[in-house]
Amino acid sequence: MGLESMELTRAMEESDDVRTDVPEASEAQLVARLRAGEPAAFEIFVRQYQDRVWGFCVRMLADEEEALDVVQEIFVSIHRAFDGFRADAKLSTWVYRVAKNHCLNRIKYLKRRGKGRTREVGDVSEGELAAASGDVARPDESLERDAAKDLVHRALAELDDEQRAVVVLRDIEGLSYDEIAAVTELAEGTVKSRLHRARERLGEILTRLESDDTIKGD
Amino acid sequence: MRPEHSYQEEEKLFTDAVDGRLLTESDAKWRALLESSGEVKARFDRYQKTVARLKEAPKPKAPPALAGIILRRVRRRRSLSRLEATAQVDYRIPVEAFIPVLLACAVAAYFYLAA
Repeated sequence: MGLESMELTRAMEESDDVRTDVPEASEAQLVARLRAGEPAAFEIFVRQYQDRVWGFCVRMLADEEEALDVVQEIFVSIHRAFDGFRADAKLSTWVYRVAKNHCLNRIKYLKRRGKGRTREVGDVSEGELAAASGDVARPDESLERDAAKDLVHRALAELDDEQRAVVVLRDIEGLSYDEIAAVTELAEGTVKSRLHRARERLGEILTRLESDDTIKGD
Repeated sequence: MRPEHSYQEEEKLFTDAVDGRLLTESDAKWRALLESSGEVKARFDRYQKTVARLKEAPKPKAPPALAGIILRRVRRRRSLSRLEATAQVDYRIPVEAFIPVLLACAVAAYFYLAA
């Protein structure tokens, strides 16, 4: 077991690209090492999943600063709750479920409090975000700059929260219907129905945004 | 004659078409549906374009230092948990010693404030 762990750690450290599809055996090894409480295993897990979790949160929250907060909370929650993870479930599905719940809770919190939330102890400062992203510009300015070009991002932000979740999981993150059903704890038929309505609604929003942009451009 | 179809049927056909899962039988039904109504075809074109744009949307990469931030936070939590566990052990001092000390502190504070 020790030799396999070292090989896994070395392979992960040497790999520059984070693979989004983890072979079943590697996921099983990772789960076993996480259950054993190995600190190195958690680091591997974070590096392997951070892109997916970040991408999901940015799409759900439409705000990089909020996403930075929430992503940290997600991984801390996972670290705390890992003992409760059932080995027969898929790790990625569980991670997305935790991420989805955190995002939806954050959205509800922001709606109750208003967008300009009060800074609390432990919040990441803007300097830390800039340092983390390596971007000198403020993240919201950077996002606004890209948003002008990224109609999809703007359209997703206008979608209903639950609909946005299924669209992001299916069409951006590439999960299968049964995986999305496991993440959302809905029946597969309900997932498909919700996805279909979300796509139709998104199409309407995109058409309107394109037309608005065309008018502004004239 | 326009073939009748329910919303659920249309939903299934749209989804299967976009997923590339139309079976031969459904395929024929699907073609008939598209050919029968310009409105349905226009809706499907927009639907298909929407899904294509979603799939092509760039996936944001996590900030380079994010993993470090997360791991530091988890380590801080772990240290705090250990500290709390240690503090709980230390709090197991005999009540017979703890209460008189507490009373003495209260009396001292009273005299200090009275002065």
